[in-house]
Amino acid sequence: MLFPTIEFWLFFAIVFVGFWALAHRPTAWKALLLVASYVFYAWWDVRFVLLLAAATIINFAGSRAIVRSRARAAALALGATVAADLALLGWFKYYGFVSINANGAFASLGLASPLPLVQVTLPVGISFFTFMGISYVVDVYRRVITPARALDFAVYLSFFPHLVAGPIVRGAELLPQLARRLRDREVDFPRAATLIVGGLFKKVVLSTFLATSIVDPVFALPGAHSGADTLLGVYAYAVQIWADFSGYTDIAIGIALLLGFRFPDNFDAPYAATSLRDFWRRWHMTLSRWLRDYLYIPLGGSRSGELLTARNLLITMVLGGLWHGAAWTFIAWGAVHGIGQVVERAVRARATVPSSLLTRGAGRLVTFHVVCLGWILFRSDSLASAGELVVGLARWNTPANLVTPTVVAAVALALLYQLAPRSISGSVTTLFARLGPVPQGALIGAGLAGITYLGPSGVPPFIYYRF
Amino acid sequence: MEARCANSSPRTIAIAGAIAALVWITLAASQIERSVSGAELGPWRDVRLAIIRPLANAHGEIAATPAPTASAPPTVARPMVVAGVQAAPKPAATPAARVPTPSDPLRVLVIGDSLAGDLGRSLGRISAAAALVSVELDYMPASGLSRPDYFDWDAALASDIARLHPEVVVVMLGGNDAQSFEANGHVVQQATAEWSAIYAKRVADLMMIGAANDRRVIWIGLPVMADPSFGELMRRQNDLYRGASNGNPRVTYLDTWALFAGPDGRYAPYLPDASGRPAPMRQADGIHLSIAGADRLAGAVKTELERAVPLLSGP
Repeated sequence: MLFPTIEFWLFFAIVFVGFWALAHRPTAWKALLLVASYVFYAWWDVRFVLLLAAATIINFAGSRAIVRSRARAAALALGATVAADLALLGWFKYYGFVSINANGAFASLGLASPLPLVQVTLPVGISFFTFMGISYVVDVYRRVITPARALDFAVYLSFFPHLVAGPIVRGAELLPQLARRLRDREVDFPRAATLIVGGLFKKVVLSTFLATSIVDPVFALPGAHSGADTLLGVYAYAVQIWADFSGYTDIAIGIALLLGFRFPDNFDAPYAATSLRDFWRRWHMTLSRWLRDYLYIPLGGSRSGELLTARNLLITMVLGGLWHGAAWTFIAWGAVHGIGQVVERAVRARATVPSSLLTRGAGRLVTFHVVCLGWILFRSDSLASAGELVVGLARWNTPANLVTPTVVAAVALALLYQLAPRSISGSVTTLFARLGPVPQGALIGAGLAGITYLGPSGVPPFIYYRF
Repeated sequence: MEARCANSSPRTIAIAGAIAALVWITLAASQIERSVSGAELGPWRDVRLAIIRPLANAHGEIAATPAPTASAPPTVARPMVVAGVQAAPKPAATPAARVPTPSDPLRVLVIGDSLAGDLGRSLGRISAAAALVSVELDYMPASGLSRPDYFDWDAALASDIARLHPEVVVVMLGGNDAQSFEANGHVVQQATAEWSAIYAKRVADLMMIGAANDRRVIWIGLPVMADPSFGELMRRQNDLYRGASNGNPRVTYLDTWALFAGPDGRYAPYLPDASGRPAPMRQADGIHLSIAGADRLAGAVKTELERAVPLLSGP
């Protein structure tokens, strides 16, 4: 069930009415959310529901074992729970990749691989709810949070707005909201409405337009296009993936808001970043925080000298890349960001030039292009294709067929929007908030009609659904 | 800056939501109707159409129910990939009648659904090295011949031919076609004799468009599928493609079933690649092709092209 479909909004209308009708009965509205979330998940493949239930049971049981145990036993319980989480993720997401590469490696030594080749279906959203489960048990172990009741935890892990593509919400952020009385809650409708309509525009209109106009053609046959087409195709992909993923997140946050829940922000004008470190504070922020708190800092973070910090950064970014998919392209993408940040730290430590408009501008330009280099790896279907595309960037002796004023304008406006003051979108929400429900509804309806006319009737799934 | 809403009770939100839905349906009725009519046949589609059609008709933009074979303009996202940097298109020529050169390569058009997308990308890649074949790809995910009201391949191919002047048309579709459709004023159930007769006629029509003016058509059969029951439906469709190709001397049917089957004749997720090592042939859905799988298929298509145009394989 995709957000930009009639099916989803009918489903949501039923959930919304039922949820608020049960506002005075906490167990009932939580049970409703749980059932709704499992129905939402089963829409893809009913077998996946068992996996979600298994992840819920593993992490809930693990958290109970942690609080009931003494120090060493609690650590063992934590280790066992995290290992079980990673085993599930490893089997469904990485087994095929590991087995085929192991097979190749053993074959080159003239040996038979011990790993049989098995094709495993990747359940949607597994990367997201696995990371949420791990953060929960680690936070319980660290005593950042107290263990939740079974129903609360089940809703926390499966809550449909974040289930398939985030944001990766922490237990400390969502569980207290589940424990609060529903009737005391404020629903920020203007923010929810602007997020949802804006998110739908980003996904249905902007992302799809750029994908079909230039990105898909350029990346499908990377050796066949002019340098101008290829360069604009890469810039367009940078905009497409931002519009696609941040559009999804906006809709998810807006939907949660309509049910009275606040999710953390996931994007903050990432292409306005002046450094790679800055980029990761603005792009997929909930994943960055997760990697920082549950991987980079436990590895030692930046506390142990330049060399170990570089190692920790590389490990974190490469594993962050691998989180997105079991492929060498994602590993290389993570490595580009890891190496980039190591270089950046070294330059920063030795830099003597004070920050100015010029240095910030140059920082933005360099950062954006390193990020784009990463996107070439991220979007390409193989390292060879990525190489072909990079070579294609130098092919300026052939005519450009895909560069059109509309594509250039869409890319330029989307990038300029990232530099616009945040108060602009805030002002739109404020103006909207002053209206009554009838004009509010009319405006939303008009906005949706505009999106329907501008967008195609068949909208491809969100890019991050496959992670 | 976050705005606080004065009217934020669920009841108020419900009112605003209902009005939004009403305004949306009223303003975008014709577009919604077009989108819904392309959905899978069934009660859910009928309910939605029953609601939206009167409004769409009131718009005056859609006068009546589209005939099953009517060519509704495609409004779906449609990746169009054009490879091979060509000067002005040349008039079509019989492939065997001329010698393709790097400056005047054989113009090959690949059309179809997402499987054609997998194939076209690989064929473009492997052909780029030889420089004697220029591959152009027009694929539309989720399309086929069952639902011309969703996407009309006859019209799309005619338009592609007029624009790109291909000498060989490679067609791969059918993975989305195992569904009922409307024809002759009623719903034709999938897997019936009537369905097969109408579908075979559509296949033959598309072949005829592709093969007109001495062009060659290579029709790619569907490969074995992971789900045996789905695979059985695809195998029956393959029989229709093979049968239709027998009736047109300029059409070659390329059987790919065995190409993706293991020694036991069943679906094989892994098969040896060019280096002889096992490689994943299919995506996890058991339908689409992996890169190695697409390369394997593209290799078979390239061999077929070389058979059709012997000079492609070199002196």
